[in-house]
Amino acid sequence: MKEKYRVLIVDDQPWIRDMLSEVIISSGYLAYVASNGVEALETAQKEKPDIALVDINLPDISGFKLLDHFIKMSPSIKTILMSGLSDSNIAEKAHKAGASAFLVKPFDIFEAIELLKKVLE
Amino acid sequence: MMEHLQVKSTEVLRYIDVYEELFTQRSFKLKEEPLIYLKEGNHKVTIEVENEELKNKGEGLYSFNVNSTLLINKNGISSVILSYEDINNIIKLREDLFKMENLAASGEITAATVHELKNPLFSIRGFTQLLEKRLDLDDKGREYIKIIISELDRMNQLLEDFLSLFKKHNKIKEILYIDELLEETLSILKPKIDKHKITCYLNVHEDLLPLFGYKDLIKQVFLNIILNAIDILDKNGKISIEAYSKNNSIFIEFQDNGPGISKTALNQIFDPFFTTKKNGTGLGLYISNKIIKSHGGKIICETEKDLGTKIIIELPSISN
Repeated sequence: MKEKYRVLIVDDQPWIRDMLSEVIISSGYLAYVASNGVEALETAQKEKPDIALVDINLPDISGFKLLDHFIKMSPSIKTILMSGLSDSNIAEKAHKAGASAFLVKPFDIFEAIELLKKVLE
Repeated sequence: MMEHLQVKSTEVLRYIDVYEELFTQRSFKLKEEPLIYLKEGNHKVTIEVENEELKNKGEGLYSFNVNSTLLINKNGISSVILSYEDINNIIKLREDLFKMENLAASGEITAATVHELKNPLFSIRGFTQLLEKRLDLDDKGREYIKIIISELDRMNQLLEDFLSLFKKHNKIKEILYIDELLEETLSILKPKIDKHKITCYLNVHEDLLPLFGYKDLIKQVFLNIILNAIDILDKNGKISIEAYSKNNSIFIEFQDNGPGISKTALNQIFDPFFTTKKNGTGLGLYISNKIIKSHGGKIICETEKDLGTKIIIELPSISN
């Protein structure tokens, strides 16, 4: 059997981490959480996730910076950026920065799982 | 300006005459005898003037920095050197600056607050979806969940539209090519267009003139109009967009094959908070109209029942 995909969730809002973890685990993935950039980098080093869901507004560094670190650390990590801002320029910026996708909060969590699947394949 | 005068009293001096002399150079009269006491040193003196017009404009108060120096000989005070500086312009500038800062700050606070509401909204929406999975609901129960989700989405849309009133856009006017803007807008909307199985035709005439304007704002208008069309169309709907120039103006037409708009609604579509959509906020076209007007253009809407709706934007081209 193929090993489960590992998903890292990075968001400073605890409820959002819980909610996303539950839907990710119930969809058959492994979920890891981090509440800021430093935690995210530590967890990524230890757990080697396949994909990261990263909020753009983190308390210590921006999601874009974290994405840069991920790319330097391990180019195989895919990243989906999330934000409450729906500005089309941010979506464009996320794409240019190397994100696989961009999600605007609040999004449909089951549609997000579909997107996750697509990015991982 | 300096004024020299003879004085009689010693400690505190009252110089109505002096002030009248100072102010007669101005076109207003003092409302009452200014009971202004002159002491040695620097004072800020504010005087209310009797000029209704000025007062109505909120400019009835005049301020001066007054500096007086008493010259004393053995008989007491012999004269006073009085200089004054008109500081009304400085005060007005300061007030304007304060107002502008306040306005900018309140806009920023509003935007930040609205943005902060997105996180709890997302938690509620996500947990509602999770709850639905966990509960063994009957049809009624599932209907209720659907209503919760669609009301949350409506709330979110309202926040989005509200936010766009305060959104900081790139405040530099630039040369804009309509074909690029339309293509960018369509690529943002692609997932939604695909999901609703809508066919989009884009026809930009080769000789289309560029426009001088704000990129983000014009893009927002295109986004609002196409989103409206998507919302009104059933599956397999069509949207045709045509852009061309005529008489130095740019025309962009958005035609859908939806159900059209009623005559009564047509008169109100640009009014704030008017909407025919179940989840609409009624701000999209209102904001779009404002943006196009600020670019010196106009939006018109033509509609026919069962044949669809056409939104026509006219904008002055760069050569205009």
